[in-house]
Amino acid sequence: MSSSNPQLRRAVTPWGSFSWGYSDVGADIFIGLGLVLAYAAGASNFAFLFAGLVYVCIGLAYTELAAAYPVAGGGQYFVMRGLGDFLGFIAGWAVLLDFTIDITLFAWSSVDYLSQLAPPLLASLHPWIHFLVVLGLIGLLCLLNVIGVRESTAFQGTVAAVDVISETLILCFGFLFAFQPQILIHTMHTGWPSTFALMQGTSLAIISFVGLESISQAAQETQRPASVIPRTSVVLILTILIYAVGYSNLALGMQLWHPLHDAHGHAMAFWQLFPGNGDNQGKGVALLSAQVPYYGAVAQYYVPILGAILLLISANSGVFGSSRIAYSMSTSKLLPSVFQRIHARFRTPAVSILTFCGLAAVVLVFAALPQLDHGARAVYDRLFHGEDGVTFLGDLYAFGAATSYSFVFIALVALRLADPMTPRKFKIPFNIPMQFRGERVEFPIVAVIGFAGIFSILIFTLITHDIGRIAGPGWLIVGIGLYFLYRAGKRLPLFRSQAHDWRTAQTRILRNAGELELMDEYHANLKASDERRRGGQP
Amino acid sequence: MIPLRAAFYVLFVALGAIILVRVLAYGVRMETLTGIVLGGLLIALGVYRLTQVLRIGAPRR
Repeated sequence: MSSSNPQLRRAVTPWGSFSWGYSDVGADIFIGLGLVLAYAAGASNFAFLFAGLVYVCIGLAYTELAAAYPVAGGGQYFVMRGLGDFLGFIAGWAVLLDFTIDITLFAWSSVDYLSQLAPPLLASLHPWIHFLVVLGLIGLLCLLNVIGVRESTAFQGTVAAVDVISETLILCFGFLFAFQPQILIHTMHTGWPSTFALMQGTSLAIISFVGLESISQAAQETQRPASVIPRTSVVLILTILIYAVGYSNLALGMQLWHPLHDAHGHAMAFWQLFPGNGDNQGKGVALLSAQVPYYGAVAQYYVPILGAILLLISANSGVFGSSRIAYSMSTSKLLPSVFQRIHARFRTPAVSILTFCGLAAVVLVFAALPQLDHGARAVYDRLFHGEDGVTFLGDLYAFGAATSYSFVFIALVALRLADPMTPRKFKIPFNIPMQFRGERVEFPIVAVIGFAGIFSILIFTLITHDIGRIAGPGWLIVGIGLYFLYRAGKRLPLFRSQAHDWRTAQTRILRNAGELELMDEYHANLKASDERRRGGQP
Repeated sequence: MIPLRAAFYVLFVALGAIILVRVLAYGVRMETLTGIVLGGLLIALGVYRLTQVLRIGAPRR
C-alpha cells in the first residue's frame, strides 16, 4: 500500500454512471416496498409520492452540484464548500452512516430475497444461518472493492439493464392484466392508516430514493462529468420515481392472481402480508411479482435472484460510496490522512474500505441480536417497542439520508450565492434572479421546497422511530467528538474553516475532469468579476 | 439497437396512456391522483428518451 499521491482513475462511462446510481437507488424499492406497505398500508402510494417529490428536488440539486463540482465527496464536499468545514463534516458523517447502513441493510435484504427460493435462509426460522451468510457477503464485497472499480462497474451495468427490463415488464403485465382502479379506491378507503403510521411509512419511503449520492461520487471517476451527469441523472430520477409510484399503486390496486388467506381462512389484501412480518418486509417486490398474471409464473422464480443480485450490488455501492467519502473528507482534513491512502497496485482506498466494511459488520450484529438471542430481544422489546432487524436498519438509513440531504439543500443555496462564477452546465429550473455582493445570482426556489420536504421527513423519523431517534443523533455526537479530537491534534480550527483556495481547487477539478471548455469559462467569469470589482472601486 | 431502444420507450408511452385513461375514468380525485401522476411520468420519460434515442439515430440513417 502506498501513501504517495496516485489519483482515482476515470473508468466510469455514461452507462456506468447510470448503473452506479441505478443499482443503488433502483434496488431501494426492493426493500422500501415491503417496509412502507407494513406501516403506511392503504396510503403507501401517497407515502411514496410525497417522498418521491422530495427525491426529485434532491436529485435535481445533486445533478447541478455534481456537474459543477465533479469530485468524489458528493454531498459532503458541496456542504463543506458552501457552509464550511464543520457542517461539511456533519453532512459527510451522516452520509457515512448512510452508506455503512447501506452495506448491511442491502446485504441483509439480499439474503431475504434468496430466502424466497431457499427457505433455510429465512431469518425467522434460521437466524444464525441468515446472520452468517450476510456477514460472509459483507466480507466478499470488501474484497471485491479492494481489488478495483472497473470490474464491478461492468457487472453492475449488465444487472442494471436486466433489472430495468424486468421491472418494466412487471409493471406492464401488472397494469394491463391485474390493476383495477376500483380496488385501489376501495383499499385506500379501508386501509388508510393513522397519522402516526403514515408518518412512519413516509419516513421509510425516503429509503426507496437514497443513492443519487453514488452518481456524484462516481463523478470523480466519470469521463466528461459535466456533460454525462445531468443526462444520466434526469433519466435515473424519472425511472426510479415511476417504479416506486407504480409498484405501490399496483400493490394496493391489483386483483390477486393467487388469492391470499389468513390463518382463519379469511381473504387478505396484498398489503396485509407485511405488517409485523419481518421476513415479508424484506422481499416485497418478489412477493408482488409472483402475483402478476402470466408473467408472475416466470417472475416468481427469477425476481428473487435478480433482486438478491441487485441488492448485493447496492451494498457494493455502499462500500464504494463510504470509501470515497472518507477519501474526500480525509483530503479536506476532516478525517485523518490514513483514509486517503490508495492501494499501490489496485489504486483503491483500501483503508477506508476495510474500515467501513468493519463498521457494517458491527451494525449487523446490533441488527441481528434480537433474533439471535432471546435476552437481547427482551431488551429491544422494552426499549424500542420490538422493532426488528430490517426496521432497525431502515430507521438509521432514513435518518442519515434526511440529515445529509437537508444540508445539501442549504449548501446549494449558499453556493448559488457565494460561487456564481463556477459554470453550471445544468441548473435547477425556477429561480429568482437577484443581486448578491455585486454579482448577479439566481436563488433556487426548488431548494427551499426540497428542504421543507426533507426536513419534515427528518422530523417524522425522529418522532416515529425509537431506534432512529437515539442511534442517529448518537452517531453524529460521536463523530463530532472524534472530529474535535482530530482537529485539535492537528491545531486546525474546530468550528471555523481552514483557509481554502477554492479558485485553484475548482480549476484543478475541471482540468482533472477533462472539462477544459468549462475551465476556460470559469477563468473568464473570474476575470470579468475581478474587473467589475476593480471598476467599482473609487 | 436503436429500434429496440425506441420500441422500449414507446412501450412506456403506451403504458402511461393506458393507465391515464383507466384511472381518469374514475374522475380526478384523491384516490386516483397517484395513478394520474404515474401515467404522466411514464409518458414524460418515454417521450424524453425517445427524442434522445432518435437524435442519436438520426445521423446514422
